[in-house]
This record gives sequence, structure tokens and C-alpha cells, in this order.
Amino acid sequence: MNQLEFSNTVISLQDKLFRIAKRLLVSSDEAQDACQEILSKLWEKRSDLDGLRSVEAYAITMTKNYCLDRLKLKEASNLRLVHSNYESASDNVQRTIEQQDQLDLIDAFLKTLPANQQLLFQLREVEGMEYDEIEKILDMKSTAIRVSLSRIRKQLREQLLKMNSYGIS
Amino acid sequence: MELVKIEALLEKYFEAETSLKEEAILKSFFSSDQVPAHLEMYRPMFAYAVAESKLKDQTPYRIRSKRRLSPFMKIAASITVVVSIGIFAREYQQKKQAEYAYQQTMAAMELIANQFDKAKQSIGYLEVYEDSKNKIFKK
Repeated sequence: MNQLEFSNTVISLQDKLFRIAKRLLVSSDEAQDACQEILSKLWEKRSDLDGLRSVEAYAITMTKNYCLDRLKLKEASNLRLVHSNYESASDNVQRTIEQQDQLDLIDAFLKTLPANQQLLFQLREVEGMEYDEIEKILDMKSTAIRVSLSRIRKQLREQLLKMNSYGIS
Repeated sequence: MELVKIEALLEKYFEAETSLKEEAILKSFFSSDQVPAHLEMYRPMFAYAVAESKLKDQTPYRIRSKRRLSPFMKIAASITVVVSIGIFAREYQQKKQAEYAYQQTMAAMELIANQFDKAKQSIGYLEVYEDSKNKIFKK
């Protein structure tokens, strides 16, 4: 894979990899660092990329593993994931104020989920990927994925219902 | 899209049985302004996913072509360094030896020159001797 092909295939994945890293690492800065790291690694391995069936799945798996390692490292050194400069999910996207509360609620709820479920949500709901790709990346059976996803969606619905009926913000 | 169909899709959605296409239909329906009041509560779910998918990495990635030396090149480079140090050391030593030899030669030459000077003085005596001889034995 030469520089041009690399730019076309891998660099175009950058935003996606960034979103996935941000889902797991929470902070934008850390997600950016992770993203640069992953892209550098991919660049070094560019000669192996031609033989892959899906560069995208490979890159996402790499990002997942990298982020999980980072999280483990943090836990080991007792550093909790607290970011005072945390910016809520998508402040660069315009939305109305009443919507903001609801989106923040969803954000907060997703953070309580285990890493694998957060990833599942990200890959299916946000990135819109097919189940067979997600299976490979998360190394899960298709039934397990559907059960898990259904549970996440229903839990989200619960949260929104609660918010609607009690007006909790 | 008929409301009944949307409701059926939602049902399927919560069982995770919808396809990507059907999920796209839901997303676009809930971002429209035709959402009836009783379905309004689902709007944020889909709005959230859409908003999140627009996030972008603000730092552009530039390919750093830091070319790492191959192991062979590393060995070659270190051999070159060692050999050139060796050559310089040898040359330096040779230079020192030459300088020593030069000084030795100069000392020897000086010694010879001193001897010549002494010899020249003796020639002076010889001349006096010759004069006196001529005076005494007048030809």
C-alpha cells in the first residue's frame, strides 16, 4: 500500500476511529492521541494491509484494543476517568436546549455501561455497521450481539420514559 | 411513511431485529417534524446517534515518513564508525612518529653543524701556521 492508497483508505477512517476512541476514553484529547497512535501504527504496517479483507474492521479492532489497554492502565494506576474539561458529546452540532438535556441524559446513561456495550452501541447506532462486521470486531456471536443491543435500546427507552414522566433533568 | 409502519418498525427496533435500512428510515422519520406527540419521547435516541456520527477529529494526521534503519544498515553504520576511528587513530600515531623522527634528525644535524663550526675554527689556526711557516722559511 503506497502513500496515496493509504491516504484514501486509512485516513478516511480517522473520524470514525476518533469517535470510537472517544466513546471509550471519554476525553477528546485522549481520543485524539489514540487516533494518531493508531494511524501511525497502521502506517508502519501498511505493507500488511493489502492482504486484509477489511482494513476498516482491522483498524477498528486495533482502536478497540488500544483503548481497552489504556483504560486498564488507568484502572491499575488508580486514576479514575474524571475529566473536568469534559465536553458533552457533540457540542459542535447545533441543537435546541430542551433536546440538550435529553441527549446529555443518554450520554450519561451510556457511560454507565461496560466498555463492550458502549462499543456495540457506537458501532451499530452511530456508525451504522452491519452485524457481521460488528461480530468480528467485538468477537461476539450474532445472537449475543442482538440480545445485548436490544437490552441497551430498551434501557435507553426506560431512561427517556422516566425523564418524560417525572421531568427529571 | 404511515404511522402504523413506523410503530411496527419501532417494535422491531427494540428487539434488535431491524436492518440498517430500517434503522435509517427511523432515523430520518424522527429527525423530521411529523413526529406525533406519543412518539416524541423516542426522538432523542435517534437524534443522539445522528449527532454523534457527525463528530470529527480536529487534528489532521500527517504521515510521518520516519524511515527506520534496517538492521543491516545499522550494522554497516557501526562498522563504518569503528573503521574510521581506527584509521584516524593510526594516522595520528603515524604523524606523531614522523614528528619524533624529524626532531631526532634535526638534533643530529645540529650536532654535525656544531662539529663543522669547531672544524672551521681549527682551519683558522692552520692559516696562522702557514703564514708563520712562510715567514720563517723565506722562499
